[in-house]
Amino acid sequence: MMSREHMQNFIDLTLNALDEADADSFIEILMTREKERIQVMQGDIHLDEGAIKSCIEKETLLMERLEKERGRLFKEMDNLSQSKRAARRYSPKYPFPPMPVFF
Amino acid sequence: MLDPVSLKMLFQCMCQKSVRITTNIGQVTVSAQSGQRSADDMSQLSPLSRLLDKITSLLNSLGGNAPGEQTAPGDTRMESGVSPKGMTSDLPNVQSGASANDKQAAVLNGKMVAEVVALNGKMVAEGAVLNGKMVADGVISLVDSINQVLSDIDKEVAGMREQPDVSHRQTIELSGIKKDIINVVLHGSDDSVGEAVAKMGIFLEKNGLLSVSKQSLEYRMNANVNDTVNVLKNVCDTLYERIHLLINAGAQMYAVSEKTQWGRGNGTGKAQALLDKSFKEQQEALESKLNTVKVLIEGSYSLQGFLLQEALAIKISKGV
Repeated sequence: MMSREHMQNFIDLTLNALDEADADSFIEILMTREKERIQVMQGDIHLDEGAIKSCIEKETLLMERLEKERGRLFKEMDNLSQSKRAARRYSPKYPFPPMPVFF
Repeated sequence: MLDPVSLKMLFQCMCQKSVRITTNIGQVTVSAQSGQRSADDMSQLSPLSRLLDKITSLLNSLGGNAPGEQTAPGDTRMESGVSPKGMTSDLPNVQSGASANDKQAAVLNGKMVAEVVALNGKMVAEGAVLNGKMVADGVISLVDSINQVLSDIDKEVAGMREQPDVSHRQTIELSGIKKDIINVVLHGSDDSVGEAVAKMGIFLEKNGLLSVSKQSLEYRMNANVNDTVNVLKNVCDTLYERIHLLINAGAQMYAVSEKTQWGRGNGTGKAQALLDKSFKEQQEALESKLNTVKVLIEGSYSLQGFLLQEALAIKISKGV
């Protein structure tokens, strides 16, 4: 049987993750929640119907955000591959003056 | 000469400008902080990127590669497709085709050879005209794109002059980019190219935009295909490099390594290796993040399934 403490911890972490605006912290919290999630799925949760419904709704919100994050990462990878391709094409025949940002 | 301190800022202004322009036709966001494009839809690019793409496609139509790309020896369309050398190499071998023992076959083969020669000659002539027309169309399209960028710069400069917080120096330097682009188109890499460009009918108009005479260009293409194509290649290569440097931060970094004492000391190979290492690290970090997100999504899916089963079990136990 799963302890009430584990379940509460799981719910708290879920809420924290949903409140977190920063993408990296959001992922970090969810990684911490993974252990609790495994515990939840292995144990007997003993929740009423309303609580389960609420959990499902929150999980849907989390998934939406994770999908968005995945899309953003794909876009970043696409940008990176474009930069790579472009940098290889470049031949420094007419270099502009150096950019201070690189020093 | 452009000022190094504010060049990046000027480029950011141009990026911001491209946001304003392209939002009328679609969704594009350009990151002003990094100087890199981060469009929601990658098919829609900033004016400078579009120009770069046009130049690349024109370079391809000229039978060359974009600067920096490796070209196989003798791999040019003009040599293989249009020149008489290409024609003769395509002909069947007369010696092997005509048997010495069979006069009829020899006559037949001779006739076939004549027909093939005539056909190939016609194809070559048509090919040259077709190629000339295609290149002329490409150049006109390219000049249109350049004009678009030039007028965007003009609009930006006019907008900046109205803003009180923008210094006069910044507007002058943004105009410098425009002047630079025009110089490259009209002069290429040296003065001899400049003369050839003028003969092709590419001029600077009074309104500060470029114009091209299709008639002159087609005439030059028909009169001397190879020279004209070489001049166009030179202009496109030079323009490609300049604009690419404005667009791509990686290329800027590469150029910096070439120009500085540090870069010269270490050599271009090391600078390139450093750039590759940086790209590799970025890619690894992104891949690691992507894997984590993937694991989390899978976990979330299985949890939802588990919760739905629990809900169903409760309903069944209640006898609903």
